[in-house]
Amino acid sequence: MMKMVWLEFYKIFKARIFLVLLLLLLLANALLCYNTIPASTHEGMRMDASFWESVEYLCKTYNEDPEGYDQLFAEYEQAINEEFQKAFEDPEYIFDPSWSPTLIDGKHKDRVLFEYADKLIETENTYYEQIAILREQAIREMKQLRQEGEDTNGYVYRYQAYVYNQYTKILNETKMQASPVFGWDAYFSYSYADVFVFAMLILLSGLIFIPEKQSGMLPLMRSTKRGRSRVGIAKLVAASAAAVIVVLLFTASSCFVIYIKNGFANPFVPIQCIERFGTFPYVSTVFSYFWVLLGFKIVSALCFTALVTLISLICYQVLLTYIGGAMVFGICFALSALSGARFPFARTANLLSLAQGTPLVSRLYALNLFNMPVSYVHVAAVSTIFLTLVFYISTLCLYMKGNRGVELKGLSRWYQAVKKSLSAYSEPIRNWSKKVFSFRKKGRIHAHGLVYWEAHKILQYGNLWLILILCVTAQIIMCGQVKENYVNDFQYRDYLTYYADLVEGELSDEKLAYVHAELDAWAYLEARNQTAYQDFSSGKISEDDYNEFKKQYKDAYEKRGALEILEEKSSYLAEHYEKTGVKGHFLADQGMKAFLSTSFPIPLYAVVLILCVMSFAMEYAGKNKNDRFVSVMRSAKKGRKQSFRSKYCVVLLLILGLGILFYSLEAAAYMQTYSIDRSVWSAPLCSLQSYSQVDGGITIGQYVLVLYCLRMLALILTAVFMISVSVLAENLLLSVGVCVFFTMIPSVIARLGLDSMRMFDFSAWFGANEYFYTSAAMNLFGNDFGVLILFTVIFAIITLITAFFARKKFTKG
Amino acid sequence: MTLTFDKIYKSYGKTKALQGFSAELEPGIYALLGPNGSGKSTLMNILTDNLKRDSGAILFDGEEILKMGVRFREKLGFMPQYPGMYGNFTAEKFLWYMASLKDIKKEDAMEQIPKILEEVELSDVAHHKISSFSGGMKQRLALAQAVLGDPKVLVLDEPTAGLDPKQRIAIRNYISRIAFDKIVIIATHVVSDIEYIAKQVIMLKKGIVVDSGSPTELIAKMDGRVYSVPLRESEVVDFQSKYRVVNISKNEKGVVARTISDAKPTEDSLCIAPSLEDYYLFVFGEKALV
Repeated sequence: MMKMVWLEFYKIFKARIFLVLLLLLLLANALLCYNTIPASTHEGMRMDASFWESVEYLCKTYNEDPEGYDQLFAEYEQAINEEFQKAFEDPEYIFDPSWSPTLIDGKHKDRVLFEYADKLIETENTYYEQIAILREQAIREMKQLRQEGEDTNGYVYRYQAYVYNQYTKILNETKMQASPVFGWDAYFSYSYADVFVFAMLILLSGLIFIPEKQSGMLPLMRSTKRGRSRVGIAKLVAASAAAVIVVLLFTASSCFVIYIKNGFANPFVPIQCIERFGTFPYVSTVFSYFWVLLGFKIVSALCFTALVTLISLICYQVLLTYIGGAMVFGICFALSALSGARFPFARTANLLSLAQGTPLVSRLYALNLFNMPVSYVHVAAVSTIFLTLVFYISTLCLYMKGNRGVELKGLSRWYQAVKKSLSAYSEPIRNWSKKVFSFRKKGRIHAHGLVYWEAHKILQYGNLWLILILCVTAQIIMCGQVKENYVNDFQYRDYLTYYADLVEGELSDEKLAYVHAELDAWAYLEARNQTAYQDFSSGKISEDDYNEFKKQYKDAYEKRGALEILEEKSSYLAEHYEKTGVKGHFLADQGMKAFLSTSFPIPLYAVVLILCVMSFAMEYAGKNKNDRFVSVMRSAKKGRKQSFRSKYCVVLLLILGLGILFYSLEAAAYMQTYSIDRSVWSAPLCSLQSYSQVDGGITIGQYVLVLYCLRMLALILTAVFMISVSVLAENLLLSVGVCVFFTMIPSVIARLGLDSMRMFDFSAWFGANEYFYTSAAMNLFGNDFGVLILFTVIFAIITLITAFFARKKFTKG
Repeated sequence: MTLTFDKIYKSYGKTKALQGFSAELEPGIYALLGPNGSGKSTLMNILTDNLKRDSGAILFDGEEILKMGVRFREKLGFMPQYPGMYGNFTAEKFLWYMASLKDIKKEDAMEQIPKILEEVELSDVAHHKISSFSGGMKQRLALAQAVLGDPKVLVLDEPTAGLDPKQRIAIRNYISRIAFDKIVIIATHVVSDIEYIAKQVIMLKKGIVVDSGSPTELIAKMDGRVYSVPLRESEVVDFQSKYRVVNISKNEKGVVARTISDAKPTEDSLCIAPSLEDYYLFVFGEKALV
């Protein structure tokens, strides 16, 4: 039996499409994870292990030696004041508002350390308050219910008692502490991996029973001694094992990327240390939660696999299986997007939410089972396991019984019957259309160009449509995740409120003078603040004057964050003007920075890769050289040069169309989320600090145009390169491997920290924007686009050489 | 119209697939007979320029086909043994695509395609997807695409493989009908398919032409060498170990073994008229059974 299971397992992993898609999606997941999770940096300072050690030291000091903590803070404040005093006493001394002493560990800014320590301490402090609030709410509810005469053995009362008991348990057993949780917060909030997992499981389900039906092995298999129950069980066991492996691989790839980018904090701290898990209703460490979540992912994956495998067995059609799987996933996705307040059960009790751990982090919802409150988590887990078993048993029984699957001929008979019955009604319309279009030639007209047939061949390929649907869906989901992240930046919102309108537009001396005046006013108030109370106490100033001063100081204090931003902007613009002679603009960045930060479009890369490598690989498909259609094609008059050109033409046109679609979706998502003012387009690009490296006066609008042109050019060159590789390799898997190797390996190395490889970062060049930073920084030949142009030329040369050899091979043999 | 093969050599590493193959072909049907690995497919792939020859020349009307390039492929129709076709295409669409590849005019294609589908008995399923076809139907479609465009040189690799006897005869007759102004090269194991229609049979063994001639000439070489030998069932195994038995059949009296032998194997053996299959087995011996 184990041998049978192993053979079934081998069959799954031997399927090329499975391996190819698995590799592609793993890579996509890694890149997406890397691009999505926030970097562990603050003010250019890497928050490495030593940083978090210092933060942890502060938190411990706060808890164990509060006086010591106060002493550290006092020393920090003193250092700040001394620095400020220098600026106050010496007008020519330039005070850097971002400056901070590094007294605590000699390496990291104390201000940042205290900031992060305060956050963790606040989390710890507010945690108990939050739990207490929830307990009090439950107590109040129970009291009210008793007053209303509610039966204390009734479900409603029992539910409140359940909530109270659960949170009391947490309060007693959870040893909350201010601990860093870097890495883990990113891992638990990163949810794209589950989408990839479900996509893989849809493909996996299509490989369990259908291949034998398609190849004709099924009757042979079912006629043998062990060909029914044992084979059925072996297949299901192998499918389950493969599903588990898929989940583990994606989990591992996400963890690896997060580890590389940020590292992981100590996992043996309460899960409630992570802010979004503040009201997590169970006693658990981060470590335990990780494994419980993994368990949920595996259970939901098994259930999904079982269901889609059952669908595949019912219909025995690949396309219907994919559609069925996509529909199940779509329903889960739709349910998971519902409002948690209005549809708590539907939102949590679906496979996607289960995989993402939503039932675990939601409020403490419960179901009424025999008058007892039973947590959603338990209900979801048990019912999923139960359903999985039901699906598996149904699949096994159906396989053993045998079925013919859905016959499309039967469907076409239905279609013909419906068509015939409707023909009576459509007769007048057809007669009318015949009169209108009577100029057309009679009889069947077939397009006769090779371009048409090459397009027909590609568009008829079912698996391509699946990949296209997946990639477009992924792109839409990613576009839907575009968030207004500046909304959470309160300082920036203050800047928009107080200063943005006043200084908006081109840098000018008047604006600089205004900024300096504001800074001087604040400096005066800050300095005055040291002595104002003493003056009031000693009677030098009246109470009214003191109160007036306090009001002024308070108003200025509220604006200090915004003033910092204003000062930063004006300093930057002034320095940049001095260096380059280009006058930047004060911009109220309502999203332009985010829009211009879009990077490597992974779904587009995936669809380009598959479409291009498939274009010629399909002609070389066959068990041996004599079986390939390419030998028939090449023996025909137009089967060489013309076919070669037509194929390139069709694929490039499709790629161009897809590029426009994907980039349009992206642009539309950003335009819709952010209200990007028209005046922004005419501002110099260097107005945005992230483009400080840009010396020239190119405007933002011009840059966006150039950006998208560069992206389309990169798309075309990449497509030509990949198509050429598919001709030379003659093999789908090999083509994918070579393309991914040449495009992604330098990118991965560059992103792992090897700066010298940044120039060869294909993914940055493909997305264009990120590569432009590198190019502007390197400023080759005194031009911001120097490196970008150089890389494009080099890649174009490589592409043309590859295309030349591909053409030679295909046309001459 | 002449197609000349002049000392064609081809090796795959140490394996010599073709060793100096030479032949001169004029309009008519030519059969390539030989076991697996004799070089038939290699020759066909070289002729259709899907494989590079090591040395030698192939001339069409005196001109090297490689130099002719497109002009030669214009006259070529090729049917490989297991052609990979597009499962999602219908039969008709596939032929339209082939018409496009062969640069056949639309009007000519509109005329030829229905006729050819009729000839190969696929007109009823012209609008069905190729993926739903049986093996025999795919074979017939492959033949249809080869003859589309009325090529002057037709290269067919196992054209009747997977067909039932009735279809075999129909295809054989069809090829025979269209071959009068074409050079048709058929590679096959089924001797009966070409026995009555081939103008010349070329016997290939390990890349070398061991014999060639018309079927009649080759059969004549077996005169007096084929016997019908009556045996008891218990004698069959022993007899087979001593003589080359082509066929064993049963009758009311026992077993009759069709045997190839220079001399009369038993007293009651009867000398019978030979067939081309007998000569094939005579040339290739046990290898022919592989």
